[in-house]
Amino acid sequence: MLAGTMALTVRELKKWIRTPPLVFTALFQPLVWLALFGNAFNPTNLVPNISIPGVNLDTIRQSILTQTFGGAPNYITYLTGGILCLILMFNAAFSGMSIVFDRRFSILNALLAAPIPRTSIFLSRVLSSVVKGMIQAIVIFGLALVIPNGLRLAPGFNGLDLLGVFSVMFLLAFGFASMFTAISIRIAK
Amino acid sequence: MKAVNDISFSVNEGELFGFLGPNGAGKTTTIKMLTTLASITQGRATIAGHDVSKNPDAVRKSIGIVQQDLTVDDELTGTENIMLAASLYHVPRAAAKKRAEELLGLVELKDAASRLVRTYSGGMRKRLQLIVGLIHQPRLLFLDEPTLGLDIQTRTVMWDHIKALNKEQKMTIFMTTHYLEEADSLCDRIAIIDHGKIEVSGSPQELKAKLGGEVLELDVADGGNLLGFFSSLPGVKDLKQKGTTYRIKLPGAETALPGIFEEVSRRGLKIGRISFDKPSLDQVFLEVTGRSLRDAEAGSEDSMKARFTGMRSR
Ligand SMILES: Nc1ncnc2c1ncn2[C@@H]1O[C@H](COP(=O)(O)OP(=O)(O)OP(=O)(O)O)[C@@H](O)[C@H]1O
Ligand SMILES: [Mg+2]
Repeated sequence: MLAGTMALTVRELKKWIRTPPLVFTALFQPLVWLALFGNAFNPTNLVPNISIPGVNLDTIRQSILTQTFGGAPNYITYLTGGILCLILMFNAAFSGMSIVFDRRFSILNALLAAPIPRTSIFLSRVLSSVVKGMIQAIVIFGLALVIPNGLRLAPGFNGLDLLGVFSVMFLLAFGFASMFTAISIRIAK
Repeated sequence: MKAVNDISFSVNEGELFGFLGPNGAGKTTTIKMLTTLASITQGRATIAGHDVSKNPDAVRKSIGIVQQDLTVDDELTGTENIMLAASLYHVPRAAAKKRAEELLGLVELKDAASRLVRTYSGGMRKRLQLIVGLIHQPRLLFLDEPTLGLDIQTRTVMWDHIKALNKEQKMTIFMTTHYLEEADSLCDRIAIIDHGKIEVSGSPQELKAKLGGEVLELDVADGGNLLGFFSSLPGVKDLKQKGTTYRIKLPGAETALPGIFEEVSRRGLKIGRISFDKPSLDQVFLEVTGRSLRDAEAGSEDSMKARFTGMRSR
């Protein structure tokens, strides 16, 4: 079971890495979202950059964030979580589609006749999708941290918290991937 | 729609069995049912002692299959395709590597082995697919038109290899083909299927013998009546005379010929011309299945696939 699943997962990932445009869009797209939405939708930009005596505009900006965005220190910090979820979902949808192609090219038939549990065919799709998703998520997480006025972690954020964040992302990726793979198997039939 | 209807046959262990039939006869469908890829709606099939419908996992463990459609992965290299199959069929890595080398050499794909299959020609893909199917050594191997689209050289090599697998490794082989000389020289036994039904089965020799033997045509110079003599030959059929030309159907004509020559010269006659037609599997095939062409729809999925591939690579 494991050997078959691994071999098939590796196959999927190899094919992905060999198609640079796929990898490029996968990493570039979320970066654009981060940069574009991070600025364009940033509500604190609505507060003009002027000085009114006796009024501290920064306090206003801060209170916008506190009230609307659950106390995130800046807008990108709030946005990053959402973008990570979207990335995981889009990636899963896209990977799931590949099963439709496989069936048409009768490759799936070759797998179905092999002495491996059918679960491992399904599982390999899900796993490869999860790996792709997690790679994208990690890159986005890192980028969000380094861009100016980017993601700011809460004080006292430690390795365990980081592990928690990634565990949640992993579960999310796994859930989305399973869902979309199941859907595309239905479609392919 | 019924692609295969009420067929019944058995293949013995160690046998090389040929499954012949016109396009759309139901050969591939039969293989799909036997290899657990299509479900059997009625009846029962047993492979290596396992019921195909009830115990598909056990069946998959004991078989190998080379499908008619291309099943190699375009976006992997030749070697990667082989190694993937090796891990799916639980062949240990080291053994698989060694065997992959051998097989690649056999079909002369060594130089192309590390190239993406996308860059292969049609015949190269087919060759690769064949050896991918041979990487594990199953007890029972299904080959669906294994030599379709291969050049004569490769086909000859594949014949030898298939024969060797069968004879030396005692592998039972079930193959379909449209090349009847291939079936004739390879198969121990064949069955001809048409419209989803098995029409005849038996060894190539038996089937050819059913045609009634070789067709012999003799021109005997300056006449003489040989009708009586010819009709006295054992097993003779369809005796015809037209002027000085005699036409007979004679089983075992090869061994009867010397006797005929002797008799003719004993009577002081001379043979002007002689022609000798051995019965071929082609004749058997045409006799059994008729001469009309089969539904064009049989090839439609392939052409759709070709269009799709074209579309994708554009
Ligand atoms: N997926 C399918 N859906 C509907 N009909 C099918 C399908 N596959 C095959 N058929 C039909 O079943 C019949 C038998 O097809 P099959 O592929 O078994 O023929 P074959 O003997 O392998 O022919 P060929 O020599 O052309 O490969 C054909 O009439 C074909 O049109
Ligand atoms: Mg066929």
